[in-house]
Amino acid sequence: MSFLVPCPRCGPRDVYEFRFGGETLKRPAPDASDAQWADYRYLKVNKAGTEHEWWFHRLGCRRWFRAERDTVENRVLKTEWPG
Amino acid sequence: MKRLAMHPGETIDRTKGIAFSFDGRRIEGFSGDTVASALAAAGITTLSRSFKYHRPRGILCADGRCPNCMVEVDGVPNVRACVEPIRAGMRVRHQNAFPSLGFDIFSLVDRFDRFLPVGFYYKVFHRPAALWPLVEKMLRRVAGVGRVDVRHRHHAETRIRNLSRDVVVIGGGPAGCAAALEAAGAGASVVLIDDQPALGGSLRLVGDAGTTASRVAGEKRIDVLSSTTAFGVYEGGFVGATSADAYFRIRARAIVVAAGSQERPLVFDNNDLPGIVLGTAALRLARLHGVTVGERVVAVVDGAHGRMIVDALAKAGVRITETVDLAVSTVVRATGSGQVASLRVRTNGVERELRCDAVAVALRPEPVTQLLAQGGTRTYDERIGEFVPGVPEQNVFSAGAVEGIEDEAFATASGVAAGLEAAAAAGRSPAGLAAAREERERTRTAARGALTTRVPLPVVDVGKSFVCVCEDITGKELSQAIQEGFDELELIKRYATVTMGPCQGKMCHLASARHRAEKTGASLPETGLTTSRPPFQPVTMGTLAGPHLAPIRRTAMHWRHQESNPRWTDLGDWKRTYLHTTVAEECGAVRSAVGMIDVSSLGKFEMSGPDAGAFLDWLHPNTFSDLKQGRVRYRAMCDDSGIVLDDGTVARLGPDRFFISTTSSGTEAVDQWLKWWLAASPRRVHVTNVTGHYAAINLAGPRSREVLAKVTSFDVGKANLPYLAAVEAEVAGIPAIILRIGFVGELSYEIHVPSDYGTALWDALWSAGKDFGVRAFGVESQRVLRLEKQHLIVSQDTDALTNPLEAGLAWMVKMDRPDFVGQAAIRQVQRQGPKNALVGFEMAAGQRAIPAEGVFVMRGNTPVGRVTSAKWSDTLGRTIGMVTVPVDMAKDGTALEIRHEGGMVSATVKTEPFYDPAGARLRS
Repeated sequence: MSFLVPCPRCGPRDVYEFRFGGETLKRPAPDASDAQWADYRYLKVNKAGTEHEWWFHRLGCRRWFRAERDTVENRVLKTEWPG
Repeated sequence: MKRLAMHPGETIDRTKGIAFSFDGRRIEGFSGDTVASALAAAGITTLSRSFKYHRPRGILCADGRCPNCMVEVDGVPNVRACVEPIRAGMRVRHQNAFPSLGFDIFSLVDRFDRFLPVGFYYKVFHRPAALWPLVEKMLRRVAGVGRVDVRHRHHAETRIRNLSRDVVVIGGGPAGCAAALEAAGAGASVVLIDDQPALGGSLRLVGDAGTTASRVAGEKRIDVLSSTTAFGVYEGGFVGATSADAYFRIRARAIVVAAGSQERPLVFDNNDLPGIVLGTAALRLARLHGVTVGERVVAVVDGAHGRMIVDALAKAGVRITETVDLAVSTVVRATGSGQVASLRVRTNGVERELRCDAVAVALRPEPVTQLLAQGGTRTYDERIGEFVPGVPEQNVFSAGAVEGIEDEAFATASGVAAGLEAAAAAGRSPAGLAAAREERERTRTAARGALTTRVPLPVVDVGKSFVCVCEDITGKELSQAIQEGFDELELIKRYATVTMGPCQGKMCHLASARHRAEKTGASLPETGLTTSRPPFQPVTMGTLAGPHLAPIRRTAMHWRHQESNPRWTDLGDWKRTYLHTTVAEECGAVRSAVGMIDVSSLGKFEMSGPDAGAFLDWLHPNTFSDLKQGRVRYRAMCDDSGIVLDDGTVARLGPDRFFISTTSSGTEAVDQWLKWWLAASPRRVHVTNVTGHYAAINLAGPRSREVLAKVTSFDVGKANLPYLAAVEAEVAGIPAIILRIGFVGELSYEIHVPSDYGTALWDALWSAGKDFGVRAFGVESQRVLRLEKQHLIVSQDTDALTNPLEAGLAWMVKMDRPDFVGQAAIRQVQRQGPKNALVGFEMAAGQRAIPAEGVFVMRGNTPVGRVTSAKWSDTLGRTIGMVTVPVDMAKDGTALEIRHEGGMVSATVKTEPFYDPAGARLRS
């Protein structure tokens, strides 16, 4: 694994500078069923294709951002600030 | 002596002799010799014993690719003698032979090879099972390559070098050099990696390498890494390469692979006898080192390449007694004892015996496509009968013989074009790209037209016809594997271990594919080659790990502690004092007088903003928006699975200002956690990690108030500074945050000051405490003291499945709120009922056993729980601890059976703190 992650603040950097924060998922409402909560906590989509993910620039600006990554080619297509 | 007459182009300096030893014998060579060339010059032909059958093996490739010449050099195993330069006094030893290379007792295996059939480790020696440990020990002795000296620190010296360039070129032959020069000419920064000691590639053996090499040397934009092997091409333009003492991590915008081509061995009976070498190996030894492989050399060729090698060998002074052309002849077998003595060949049905002392096998080379195939694909070119690079990765280019075309004009033209393409991919605007591409295609067409289709190499499955010299796999064994049903190449690989040895298939992948194709009736392209994965060349783990560079964090008071020479312990990155004196003395001081401990490693955060209180409520199962200014409260944090992540305290220092402490080990995770929840949130909250900014001391014990009163004018009386108060005040003239909290269960103050003043605070408290018998205490005493209070340590007494209700923290959970992190999960636990509980246990007084942390609590024969903490308590005169057990057992007085050192010990559940259960001392 050696791909580059373009941090929105610091530019393209080695993936080892980052922490992978998982897929961006929508948190269920407080009164959602146990099954919906279990899905959110444990079931990842793990798609072969473009995935939307959280990344944290641990050894850089120490900020969280969102990324679109092609999980087949292991290439980050786009990054942006959340919100 | 097998040295040839001096000739131009040789890289040895015959005026500079160098002596070293081989198995204790003194060997003399010249400056510029490799270990293998010096040994060859000294007439030593056997360099190693083979992996399985312990057959004698000598030089095969002389190019650092095959396993035959691996030796131990100054304690380092598996050094390839053929690329290792000699140094005065170096100690070279053979490996994998006992007692000596000449007489290896394990070579008996060769005669009893029926006991080691293909896939033997799946089949034999497994019954009777009782014998297996013995057999395994013996097999380990017999098989293997080299011996690792675990005390050897060689690789501690390996440096990691990170390079960043526009273009990286792999291969320093004519194509690679042309690519590097063109890319540099177009303004790109270039690093050129070559596994040879000097540039030029094939030109060093046939032709003139000097001109190109000096042109490259004159180009300041090119950095040359010689004697350096690129072992992997990865995504993101990343290339890994190693030299003798460095690991290069190279990041480039474009990569040119000009890895060239490589001869392959021929499969026939006894094809592994020492003296049977590749044509280029014989030529390399002759041209560069002035050594001939033999006095009577038979050459085996299959076309133009072989004839060229034979010419070059003859020119270098090597005596070729006969040339066998595979177009008309077949090699039947070699014979000889320890070295080849004759070669039996068949021509038109007539067999002849050719006397010789060496055989040079000069077959048409195959492209070295492995690096390109790691990141791209490989296809079969029917016209030339060769596997060639397929669709490359983005920004990866190839040039020269790696494309399956051996031609000087094409090498240069494709190098030029690839260099310009790489420069363009790196963002430069090179001139003449279109013309260069045209020239490449013109030379390609011309060269292809002149190329003949490869003569398929013979598939042999009789006798000792080795396909794979690394793992000692013969053609017979491959046929056997196929008969047993392992008839796909990737299956054969896994079953027979062909291509899995140190050469990673470089010598055998094509021969094994050919074998499979012929035996199954499939075509070569249908069969394909085994998947190429990094590393292309073996890399030691030590090289990849690099030097040991773990960071160390020291507290502000570190050197003050060091003056009294305490025992240290590593906790995360932090150095902390484990014990200053003894547990008994330290705990005694805290319980009866006063003690102080450096707690600077605690994680610390400042949180401010109008939404800070609400944000803290969101993050915790308990609330903080209702915390009054000047008060501090315990915090434990969960994730949305309801798992306890971390604990500590929150102090409210202002209307919108909080001071938060975390566990030492959880600081980084909490930092990221807070930032993640704020990342997409409109909350007006500002968080600063101030862990390194503050040093902290916990002053604890019944006399601690008196000590503190001596160094501050602030009223530290019980009324003004009661239990759970949090104030900002000057201590010893230093601005400080004082928290009245007590992890160790006494009247106690956690005092935070700016790090620069950490030592000053320590000294001030120490002086003030002298009259009260103050003692410094370390982490170990703190652990005993807190256990006496049953204060949990997150991640010791909890694990990745512990929710607050099962960790004895139900008292703090405030569920009557709309939502908070972990609420849904905790609600689910409430509904279903907690299964386990964390409770204390004590053992009978006088019973000195201390169960290990993590051991089982048993119910009959079933493990039902485990010990999370256990210590001897001097205060209580017994062993105490905490266990996590099913809720029905978590009742005062329940008898527990705990595993201990192969037996069992008894203990009793105690749910209340062992020491001061009412907390009177904390609140005093």
